[in-house]
Order: sequence, then structure tokens, then C-alpha cells
Amino acid sequence: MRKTKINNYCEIKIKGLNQDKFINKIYKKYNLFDIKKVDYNILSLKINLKDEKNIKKELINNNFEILKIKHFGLKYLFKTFLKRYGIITGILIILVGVLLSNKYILKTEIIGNDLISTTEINECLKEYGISTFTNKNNIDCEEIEKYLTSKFDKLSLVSIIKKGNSLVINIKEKVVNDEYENIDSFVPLVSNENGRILSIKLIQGTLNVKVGDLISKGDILVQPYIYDSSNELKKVKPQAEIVAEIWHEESYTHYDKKVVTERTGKTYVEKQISLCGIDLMKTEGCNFGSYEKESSEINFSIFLPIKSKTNIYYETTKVTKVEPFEEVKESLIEKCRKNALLKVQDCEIINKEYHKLISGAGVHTIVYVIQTEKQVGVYENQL
Amino acid sequence: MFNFFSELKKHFALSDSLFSSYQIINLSNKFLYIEGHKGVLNFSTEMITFKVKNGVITVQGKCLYISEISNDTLAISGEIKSIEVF
Repeated sequence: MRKTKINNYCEIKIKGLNQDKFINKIYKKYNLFDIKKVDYNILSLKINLKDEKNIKKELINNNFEILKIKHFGLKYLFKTFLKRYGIITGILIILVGVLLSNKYILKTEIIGNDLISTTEINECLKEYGISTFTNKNNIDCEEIEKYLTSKFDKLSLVSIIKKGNSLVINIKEKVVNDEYENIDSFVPLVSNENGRILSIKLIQGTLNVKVGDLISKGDILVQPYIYDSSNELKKVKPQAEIVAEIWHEESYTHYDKKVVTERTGKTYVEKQISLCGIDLMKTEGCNFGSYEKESSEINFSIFLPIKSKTNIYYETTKVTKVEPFEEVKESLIEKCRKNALLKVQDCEIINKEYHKLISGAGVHTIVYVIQTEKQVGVYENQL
Repeated sequence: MFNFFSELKKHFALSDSLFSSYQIINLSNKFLYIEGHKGVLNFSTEMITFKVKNGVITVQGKCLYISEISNDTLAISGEIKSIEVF
């Protein structure tokens, strides 16, 4: 006995009266399955997916309320999927994109470069014909490796692999000894301070000074050459650690008696109004013997050249001030010390501090000296 | 839905006179197959009544439901207690 089986069906739950009449009406046209009475007015049944539309119409026409519809079967899923045009289009686009992108190089990755910039290598690859969206099948890794090695002298090894959508270029640069790099551009090591040499540690080059020598800023310390065993001159990059004693000075002169100009407190205000340089109004001039003057000017209008000028005169007088040196000596020494310390850099080691006093005829000069130790020597082109 | 008695008639080349207006097969009081029904008169989980030519058949039981109904055939499933022909 063959078993009737529906694969793609729809289960409907309906609510209404005269369900028997309804079943009698539609069974002749459509096959109905698993008709179950849930309640006196609620019925559940299964129908073929192809009959769903028509049966729904019949239900509505016979005043039945559809409580629930559930769909089963692959055919329904397939039908639903086909209705979603957006999803289908999206999936197609993604498939096309994946298929196409797998064929092409989307990124070049360069590893191991230090002296040679990534841009230079990319430019070189472009000249060869390799850039984004190059067909993977057209890339011969061995040929590119040979090309890059021949183009750049600094490269000792190049390795290229295709990894997914990326082209990975691993390079190893040549390690060039300082002695042979930029051989023609070596400049001497010169002093950047004035001082006296305390110690020398020569690394490379020919010394021009010795311990104890007094040096000035700009003096050559190490020459950029050496004489080899066969007495031939060989150019090298000069390198040395030279420590020198440096003196930072600050001085100040004090006078026991000083003539200073002071204001008496009297003032006089002079006003002047002019148009195009011609005075329209002017007060009387000041009659102070000696004075200090402060002036200010205002433009009355931006359209007309009317100006107002105000001069304030402060009467002054000369006063002799007496300030004994002993009273201010300590503060002046401290002031000189602070100013001298400002000249000392962080990398300097302070060895000694002292001051000198030179006095005579009411004039006293303080010289404060800070003695430090510092590594000197910069390349001539950096001075 | 296939028609069991029609297939039987075709297979064994039986005459129509052997077949009455309707045919019923009761399988272990759990499944009832009817050919030749004329529509359902009453339907509930305890009783299903349907028309046949020159009569009415009532099926009583528990958890009764119509497995399938088509133009000529009707299949009832559930715990069948009695079948009465009027």
C-alpha cells in the first residue's frame, strides 16, 4: 500500500463555525490532511503548499479567521528565498567579487627594509608592471627577485611569495661598514666649546690635539683620515670621546656712588589736535628743566585725518645715590652665580665654583666662574 | 490520494458488481479507510459522522481526526470504539 506523504505543506489553524460545511465544500477541489478539532470552533489542518492561496481565499469568503499559518518543506524555503531579490543579488555580487579578487593581487607587503624606503620599492615594482589588481598568474616571483636585486645595490637578498591576495616581499639589506660608507663626505671632528682637554679616547681618525691643550670653539680635534701600514692615506669617519674642562663666567660691576635720574612728582599735560598735519588746537609747552615724556595719539575718525595727541611730562632731577658694596655684596654674588648656572647644560658635570672680586676707587667687579666637565666634539658640518 | 479499491479492481480485473457503493477498511480499530463517501456531516474528537450512498456512518472513539479527505476517499485515525451504519 503506497503511503501518501506531503513534503511541502502548510499547517493552518482557523476559527469559525460550520467547519463541517466548509470541509465538505473544499474537499472536492483540494486534498486536506490531518484535520484536527482543537476546540468547538477551532480547527487545524494541513494543505498542499500549491493550494494555500486558493484555500485562504475560501476561508476568508466563509468568514473564517486564520489564527496561525506555518510552512514546511524545502519548496517553501526555496520560494521565500527567490522572493528576496536583494539577498540573491547580494550573494551573486559577493560570489563574483570573491572569484575575481582571488585572481588578483590587492596588497604588497614589504618586510625588512630599513635604508630603502617602501615607496622606492613600490615605485620600482610599478615600473616592472606590478601594482594593485595585477593578475596573480602574470607574476613570476623569481624574475622580480632578480630585478629588485639588480636595481638596488643595498639589497643583499630578496624573497617574494604570493600569500592569498598579498604579495609579500622580504628583503635583507647589506650591512655597510662605517669606514666605507659615504667615504667622500667625511668631515673632521671639531670642538663646540672653549676649554682645556682632560681626556681623549680615540676610536677612529687622526688626533689633532692632546691632553692639556687649550681649545676654542671650531678647533679641529680629529682628522677624517688615517695612514695605513703601507703609509697610504685612507679616508675614515672620525670618531672619538674627548672630555674637556669648560668655564662658565658671569660678571657684574657695582658703583658705591651713583647718579640716578628720579621723578619729582610734578607733571604737565600737553594736548594737541591736528587736521592733515595742521594744528587746530595746542596747549602751552612745558617749562620743566629736565623731564621724561610719554605720548599717546588717537584718531577721531577713520574718514577724516583728525588726530589728538597727548604728551605727559614728568619733571626729573638727578640724585646721587650711595650704596656701599659691603651691604649688597652677598646678593650680587648670588645673582651672578644664578646667571652663570643658566649657561651650564644638563650633560655637564660641575667640578668647581668660585668668584673673584676686583675693587678700586669705589668700583667693584664680581666675576663668578663655574668649572664643568663635558664631552666635546661635533662634525664640522653640524657646528 | 490513491484509490485502493480502484487499484484492486484494475489489478485483478474485477467487475463493478463486486464493489458496493462504499468500502470500509478498519485496521486494528486505529485507522479507518473509506472509499465512496459523500461528505462529512459531523466532526469532533469523539465522533465523526459522514454520508455514504443510501446511508450515514458514525465513527465513535477518542482523539479522532481526519488523516486525509479527498474527492472519494476518507481516512480517519485515532482510538476507534465503534462504527455504526444507519
